[in-house]
Amino acid sequence: MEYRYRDKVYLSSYMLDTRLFDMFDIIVEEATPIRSIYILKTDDGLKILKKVDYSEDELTFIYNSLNEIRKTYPYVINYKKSISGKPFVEYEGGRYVIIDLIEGRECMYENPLDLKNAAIALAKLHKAGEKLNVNYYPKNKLGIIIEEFRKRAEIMQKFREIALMHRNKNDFDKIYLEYSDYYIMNIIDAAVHLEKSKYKEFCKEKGTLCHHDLAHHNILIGNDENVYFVDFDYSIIDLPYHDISNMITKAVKYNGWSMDNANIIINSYMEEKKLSKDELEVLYGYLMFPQDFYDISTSYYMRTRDWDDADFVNKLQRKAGYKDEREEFLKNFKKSG
Amino acid sequence: MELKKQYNTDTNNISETDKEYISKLSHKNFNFIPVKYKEWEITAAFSIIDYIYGNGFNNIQPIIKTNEGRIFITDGDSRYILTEEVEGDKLQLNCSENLACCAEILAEFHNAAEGFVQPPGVKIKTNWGKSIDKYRNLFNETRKFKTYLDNAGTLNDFEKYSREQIDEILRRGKESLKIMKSINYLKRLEESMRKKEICINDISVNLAKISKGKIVITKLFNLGYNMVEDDIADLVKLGIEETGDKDIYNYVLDSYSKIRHIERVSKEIIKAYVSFPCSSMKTIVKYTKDKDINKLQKFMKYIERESMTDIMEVK
Repeated sequence: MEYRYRDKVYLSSYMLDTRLFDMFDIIVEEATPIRSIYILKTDDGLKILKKVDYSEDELTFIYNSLNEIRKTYPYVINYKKSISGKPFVEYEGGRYVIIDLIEGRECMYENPLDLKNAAIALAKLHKAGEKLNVNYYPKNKLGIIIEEFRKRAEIMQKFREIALMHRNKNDFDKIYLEYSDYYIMNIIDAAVHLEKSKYKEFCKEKGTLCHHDLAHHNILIGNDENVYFVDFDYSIIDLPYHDISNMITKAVKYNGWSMDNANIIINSYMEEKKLSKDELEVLYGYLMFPQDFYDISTSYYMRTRDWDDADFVNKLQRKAGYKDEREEFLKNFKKSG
Repeated sequence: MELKKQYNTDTNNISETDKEYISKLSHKNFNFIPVKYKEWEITAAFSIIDYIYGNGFNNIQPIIKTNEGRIFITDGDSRYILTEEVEGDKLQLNCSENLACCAEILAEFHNAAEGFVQPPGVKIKTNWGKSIDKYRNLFNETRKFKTYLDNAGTLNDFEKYSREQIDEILRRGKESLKIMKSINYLKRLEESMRKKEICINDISVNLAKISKGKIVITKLFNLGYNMVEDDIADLVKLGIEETGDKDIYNYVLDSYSKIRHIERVSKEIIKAYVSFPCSSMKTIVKYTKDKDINKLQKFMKYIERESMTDIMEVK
């Protein structure tokens, strides 16, 4: 299904009417659809209207966490409270939030200056999130990542069995079967590496709010030149190396898996927040996990996305296709230790 | 299509051609042009053009709004923009005089566009950092191909020819990348971002027309943030390839700097961009993906063209 059409389908589920806006006490002059949200021109400036799929508990935690973080690092999204005092409203079967629009441009990972500034800002964000009440949260991943890695290896093994069972294997099945053994071993190696590292010790003292979706379009360079983080829908509590590895992978995979961008990120992050050799070992463990291959496999076999088969195959081919470069990158990263 | 109602052009007549509608007034002609660009791209182009017109630069085709202030209209699945017809011939970029004129217009464009801040809710193309990323990737892929060639047994014609050329290609690439990885390059990039420089990002043989004695830029939809060195280098490289004259570098820079100053660092960056054997490397990378030996002719053509553009030693 074409991306624009998928967005249109989601946007059509929004219930746009003045009663919704009244609940936020705003007057809306214009609503413009962009991707899966609406930009509202209101009497209180430009806002984003977003329909969210997650629970009230999760939303409340994100809201409260960001309020806490904003005390030290103010450049994160800001929710508008409804007239009932909550950061969302329930309307016609949907849950809606309104967020201030940040004026600026998307961070570009190809731009070494953007990457440097984003990494420094990430360190500041992590420092700001260190004192959060980490015990109250359904998405607290502290201490459970090793177990989670092992479970994911089992899930991928199950996908292998499903693919083998298919009498008429399609293209996705064939490519998956070709690469899955290798990537399952990667996951197991990652778990073993973390077990041998100081991961468990660090979980007792170094947890923070991790953004967990550091795609370049979720980092905005404001017109005021500050670095803003947006879209905390997937945020979790974990060690900061989870985010750092997320940013590194996204920054290197489209430029030949070169160490240059990884070095920019690590060196810039450390300008703000030092990482010890032991911490870099834990970071390496997170990097070893083949997130891309795992994500696309899960999306396909668990049907969490309604893409066409051709889309799935293209993505899998691409993600499997950089196996050698990724391996070389991990080797170089470990060497640079 | 209710063009009259949408644009209130008070037209005498509207005629349809293959690709567009032409609306004739007594003193001016307009074109309704179908465009394949997304809404945000059209909005971005309009915003920038509007800004530079406001700064007194009108050597670029304008986009005209409808009565209701819309930048384009839709007819079925197609989008149309209204613009003034640019009658005249393509500006030929195959002689030093035309290239010099083009360089001056480019400098005026860069002056007029600098400082543009995207209006709220408007997305603008941003190319800062993309050049170095592109060149670095091309270089790394070409280097891998050399390793392949060094270890391969029997080579086909494309590979044999590549082996003859690849050392020189890599040498030039390495020289250029040294400049692009330097502190001075990063400082210059930072300055460009601070000043909010805007580029055309589409310098080609179809860049502009000469209409009633005036050069009018007709490439509208790749306008966006970038270092001005990218535009200047593209013009220099095109000019050298079209004329075979390395001195085009000096013609272009001399003309450009009559209007807008170029620092020494910028000149080094421009030389680095021009000298980077981009087309040759792109062909090699494409070959590594599909192993199509029919690319050989094209590869030889690019090698020949790019043999003229190694200007790192030009003063």
